[in-house]
Amino acid sequence: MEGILDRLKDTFDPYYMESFFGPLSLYGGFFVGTLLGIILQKGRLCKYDIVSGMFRLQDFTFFRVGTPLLMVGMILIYFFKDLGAIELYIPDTVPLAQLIGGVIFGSGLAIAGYCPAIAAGALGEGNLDAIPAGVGIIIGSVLYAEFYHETTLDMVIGYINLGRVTFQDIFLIFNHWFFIIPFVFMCLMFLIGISMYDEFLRFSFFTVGKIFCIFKSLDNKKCEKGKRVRR
Amino acid sequence: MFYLGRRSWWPILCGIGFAVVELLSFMISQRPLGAARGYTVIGSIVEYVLTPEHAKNVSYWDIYEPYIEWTIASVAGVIFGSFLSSISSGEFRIKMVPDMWRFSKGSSWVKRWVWALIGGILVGFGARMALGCTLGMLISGVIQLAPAGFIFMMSLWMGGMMTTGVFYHIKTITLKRG
Repeated sequence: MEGILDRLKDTFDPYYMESFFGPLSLYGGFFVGTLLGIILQKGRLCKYDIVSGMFRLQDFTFFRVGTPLLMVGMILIYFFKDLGAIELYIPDTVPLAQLIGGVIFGSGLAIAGYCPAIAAGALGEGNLDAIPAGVGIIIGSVLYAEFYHETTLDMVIGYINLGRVTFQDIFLIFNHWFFIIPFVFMCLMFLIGISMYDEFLRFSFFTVGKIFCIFKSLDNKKCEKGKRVRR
Repeated sequence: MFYLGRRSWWPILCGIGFAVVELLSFMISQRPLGAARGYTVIGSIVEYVLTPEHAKNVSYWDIYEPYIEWTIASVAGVIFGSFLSSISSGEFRIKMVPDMWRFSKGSSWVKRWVWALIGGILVGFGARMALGCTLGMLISGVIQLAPAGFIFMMSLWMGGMMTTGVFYHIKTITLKRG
């Protein structure tokens, strides 16, 4: 028991608490995380119904938040990079691992309904089934470290590793605005279409709910009033 | 402050706010947002605390050292921020089983928790394999124009759609929306 407490103390390094800025600071992480949690909750993103509804093709809130996020974020990040205020941190591209890993991740997302950030948000909102999902994510990463990392299969899948590349490096066009401007226009068209379709779906689900309500009330059952979400 | 009391914001405004948070993360902490790393480090800490001899031999924990660090703080921040927001709009409610799951798979909470655990294991394993989760790989990758993010986005869709069709069968379509 003594040993466990000592080792628990070892995991905390007071150096991480010294400043607000920097990639290690705990205060900075907590501040950014709090803002992110507020945005996730206000966008109605941290709910099982929304994540699962995206895969059931009946709720496109995710696209309506995600498309402006991608286009505005892309413009902001590259604009501030050109000004020299920030430095990019580009992830490794390992095509086969990301294909297979993405399929596994997606199937887990369809079953559990929570991705890592959203599980935390859902727990804050009071959905208790986010606890087993979070525990499952920890177990999954421990399983990866114990039984999969640096096995032969991992070596084979990770053999094609392009390193930290972007599209500019692959297509040898070194002005990133040539990629950003077409992407933003594409996103704009997609956003208009998906918003109209989502509003149509909202209206039709509301109408179908009303009609079923009438049928239920014929059986002398109390019908709950259809609540429209206020925006 | 009265704006925090609203139940939800306009989705486009939320998206722009999300992008600004991502930019703030780059400016304050010099790194993109990410959540899956936090869970992995928690796993590393648990293994270090319980079985320190065994944890030394696992080479993966050299990359993810057992120290409480930025991503754990940000995951705690997400829980706190979501709690703050849902309390101020009066939406906070303790729920065991989500509504849509109740329609598709019945209202037993044990079944829901077991499936959530299995799904969570798949999510954790997939996130480690793809080197990031939706936040750290998809959003941060696509924003920085890395092909990794686009590949991950595509394959996540394939996996999610296939599993939804197989797992929920005929009850994929529900009468109510979230």
